[in-house]
Amino acid sequence: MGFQKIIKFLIFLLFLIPSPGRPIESGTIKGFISDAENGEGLGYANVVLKNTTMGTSADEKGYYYISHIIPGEYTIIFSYLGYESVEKTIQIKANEVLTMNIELKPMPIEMPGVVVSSERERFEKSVEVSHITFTQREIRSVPGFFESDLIKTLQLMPGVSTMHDLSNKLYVRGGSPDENLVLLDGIIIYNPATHLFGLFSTFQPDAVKEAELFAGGFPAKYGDRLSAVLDVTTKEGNSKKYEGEASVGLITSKILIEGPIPKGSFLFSGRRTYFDALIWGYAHIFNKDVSLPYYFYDGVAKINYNPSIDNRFTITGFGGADVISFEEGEPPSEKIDLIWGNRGISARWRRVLTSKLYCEFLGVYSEFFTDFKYKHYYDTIQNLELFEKIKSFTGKCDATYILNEEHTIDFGLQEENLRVEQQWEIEEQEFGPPIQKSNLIAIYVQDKWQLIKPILYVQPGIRGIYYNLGRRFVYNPRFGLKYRFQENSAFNLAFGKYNQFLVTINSQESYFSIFDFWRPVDASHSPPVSYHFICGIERWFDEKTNLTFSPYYKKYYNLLIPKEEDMFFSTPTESLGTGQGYAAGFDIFFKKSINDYSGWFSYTFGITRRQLENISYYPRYDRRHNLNIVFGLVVPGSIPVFKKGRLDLRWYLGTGLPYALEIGRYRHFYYMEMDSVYIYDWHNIKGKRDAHRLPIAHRLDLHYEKDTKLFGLKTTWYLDVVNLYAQKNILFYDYEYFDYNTGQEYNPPKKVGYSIPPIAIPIPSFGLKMRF
Amino acid sequence: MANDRKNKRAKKIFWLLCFVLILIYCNEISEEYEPELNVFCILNSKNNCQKVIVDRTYKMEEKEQYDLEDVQVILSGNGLCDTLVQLYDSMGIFITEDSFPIYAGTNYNLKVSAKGFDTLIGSTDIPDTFAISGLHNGDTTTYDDTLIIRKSKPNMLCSISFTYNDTASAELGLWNSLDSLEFVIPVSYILMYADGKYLIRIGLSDSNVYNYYAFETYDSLPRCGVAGGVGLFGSMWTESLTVFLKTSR
Repeated sequence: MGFQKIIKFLIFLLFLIPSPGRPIESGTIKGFISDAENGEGLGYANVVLKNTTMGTSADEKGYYYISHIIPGEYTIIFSYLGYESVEKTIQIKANEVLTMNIELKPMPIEMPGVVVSSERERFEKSVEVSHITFTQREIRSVPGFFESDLIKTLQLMPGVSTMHDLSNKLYVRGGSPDENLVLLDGIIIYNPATHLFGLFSTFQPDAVKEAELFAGGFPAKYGDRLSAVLDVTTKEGNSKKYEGEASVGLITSKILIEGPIPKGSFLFSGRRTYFDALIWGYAHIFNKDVSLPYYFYDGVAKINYNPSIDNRFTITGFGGADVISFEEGEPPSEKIDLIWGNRGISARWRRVLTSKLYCEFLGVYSEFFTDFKYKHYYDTIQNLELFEKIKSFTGKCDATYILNEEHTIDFGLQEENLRVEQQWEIEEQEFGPPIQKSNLIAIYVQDKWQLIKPILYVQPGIRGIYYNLGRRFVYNPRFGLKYRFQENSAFNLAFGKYNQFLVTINSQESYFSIFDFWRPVDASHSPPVSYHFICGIERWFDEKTNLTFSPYYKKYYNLLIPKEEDMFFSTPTESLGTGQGYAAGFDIFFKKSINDYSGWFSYTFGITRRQLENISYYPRYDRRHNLNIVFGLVVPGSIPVFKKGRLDLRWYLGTGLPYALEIGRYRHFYYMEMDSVYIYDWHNIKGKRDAHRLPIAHRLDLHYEKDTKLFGLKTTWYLDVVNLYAQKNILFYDYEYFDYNTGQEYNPPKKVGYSIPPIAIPIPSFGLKMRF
Repeated sequence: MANDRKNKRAKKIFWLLCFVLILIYCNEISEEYEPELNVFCILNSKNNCQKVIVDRTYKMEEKEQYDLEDVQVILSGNGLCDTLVQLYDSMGIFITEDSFPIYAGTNYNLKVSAKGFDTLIGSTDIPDTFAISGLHNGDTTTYDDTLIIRKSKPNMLCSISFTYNDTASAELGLWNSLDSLEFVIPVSYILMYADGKYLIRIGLSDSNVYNYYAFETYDSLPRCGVAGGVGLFGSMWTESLTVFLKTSR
């Protein structure tokens, strides 16, 4: 009943929005603005009718719409930063809708420094706060361990932190990684940082067109997570010509192929590590007994099909896995296989229903699986298999209705079916807990209201959610405001309530967890909820220089947290404790680009506090200060070899994470009855879990790349050096009671700090990319 | 001009506030650990003399050395009370001066004090007796046989040790279900050497011993049957029998 009431209320709200009288005898123009080279939509591009005050900007997908145009002949101008403007003469007729799709050509000379992006346009037209968009160029320019990585780049953003140098998890404004919604073309990625034990994310930078990070206060369109949204869009594929890119790095090789198909385009990108193959070859050639039984692979395929101006179909398939497989014994008698990975497929249909209304229908299947197999070739009773899979089917419709020049209404419906399957085979018997299922239905509506154009925008919204376990209905109000008190300065405000119906049963404070084990929130628990309060000031000093300052406060209730701090895995959700907490702080982000130089500075001050069963503590990922400085330049021509290449430096500083210091020790005795002797070993006494802080961590990384020609092909070679000045960033301490080499006893025991990677040395990597 | 001054002042106040805010949250929480007495004692029905190890815990950065002074260890129960004496040069092993037998189903107490430390108090309930069937003293056994332990009350930890031909020995800790009164153990599980003479000792312990070993973690201090310090004060009821294993036909 409650659900029906909310739907009625939402419909009622829609009718409340004022609709101005429609002028008699007017015409309309609409269409999509896209990149002429690859056909990708240009979000927030400008459209102006020359010598009039009429104009608009496209939405994030490049769709524009101007109504109430008095019939006649006009010159229409399409423009976008970094692209050549296009002027067209149009004839507007009364009561007719003119559809005009436009392609803009990129400027012939690529601007050095920060790549052209739509950030300035977003500043003028978007209400969202704490929202950062990344282009592929920016992702690739950040130094990486062996290769660039999307999540490594995001870790340089304000409000985002990580636990250690190799971690690929995102802790956004005090939220744990399981509180982030991660999407790839609509496919939910349950474990985005699984490759090479967390070193690489599942996103291939070459296939990514754009990544949007909502660090908080995200709009009503998104839900089912408490902290942040990472929405990654893959490239559309070049609709004009066939081209490709092959790259070879130190541990992976990649290939990307894209090109036109009738009325559309396609893209395929694949990646695989080849260390295992190299070592296998080395072992066979030199007859050595070495092997590396590990590899990972992933691939993305996308097809766009545009049968008509008003219809567009997109299918994205994605899959990847990490594989460990080896045999034991001579001749082999046992085999161990461990495989885990993400897979998914999404089908999207964008349909312009009327000039004012367009919809996107989305069907998504996502899964993450882990499979451990032990096989004994001769004694099958010893065989063992542990299998777990989380999968979801999502059906979704997102619609945009341009009510008038002041109101743009986004609304939609989503239905998600989730299943968690576990299957164990032990001693030739199959068993496992029952499949856990849940079903979620969400409906949302949001109005982007230009209250005083272009000074004051407000964005009220609401998301209603029905969750079948416990038959719960919750509503999540959202509100955003942007007040441009000066042409180049704006004040932002956002408030929102967020629920999450899916939790992890492994600790989010673990340094080493590769993947999470997800469970739907059962009927006995209230779903976790968070409230975001965010404000901020954004100032643009010129078109390439901006500064944002954004304080935030997040309050959490009904958090489900593993009761034991170090618990890696707790099978039943009953072992989760109910807690609460808050996160507060502020971000400062400054980005500038001058001629051949560019860079940004991001700083976050944050406090994260959790409370579990009346014990209040700072979780292990609570980093108080987080600073990133990224500086890039085009190397001057006077420097040999490296001239004309692009050099990017990244310096990071983070204050220490909380940890439990071992404050004492005692003998733990054993009595050996037969020999009537006592023996003992030393046990350490742990202090409070958050009483101490690790030392400050800092690091300098370098990325250099240069374009050249190889075999007549456009080639880019790159060099990354991570940890340039060999800083050892301590991650934890241990006490050693004796020297492992000499056996000499330490009294008192020796405190030893450990880091990841264990040896603090500069880590170089290099590779090249060839475009064909 | 006045506006400029105001702006500058506002900026200064803003940065000062930021600086103060940052400083506030840079401090660590102070944490000091105070050492406590650490004892280890399992009263055993097969012993006439009982032993108590008295030690202490140490701060992590502190050098370990036996420096307890004025140590007094008093063991009492079932009408007996004994002040234990330290074995010469034993670094903390105290024994009862006289014979100190224990009786099944009764309660015993321990009191340990030392200069500069809180007094440690301990208490244990001696496990009930139990019966062994399936095998008897002097039996010849094979791997097909079983040993059955029948308890009068559920006891949790069963320790089995054996000596093979008076030389080699091995010790097993077997966890019994909490509520089970009967414990069936295959001979093949406990006698793992070749054919020959085996002296088998079976001990059932109280919950303090169980907790000391079953919940042995590195995160919390064991306070098993003791208060005012750390360690274990527990008890064990022991029975023994001699059997001859013959596996060859």
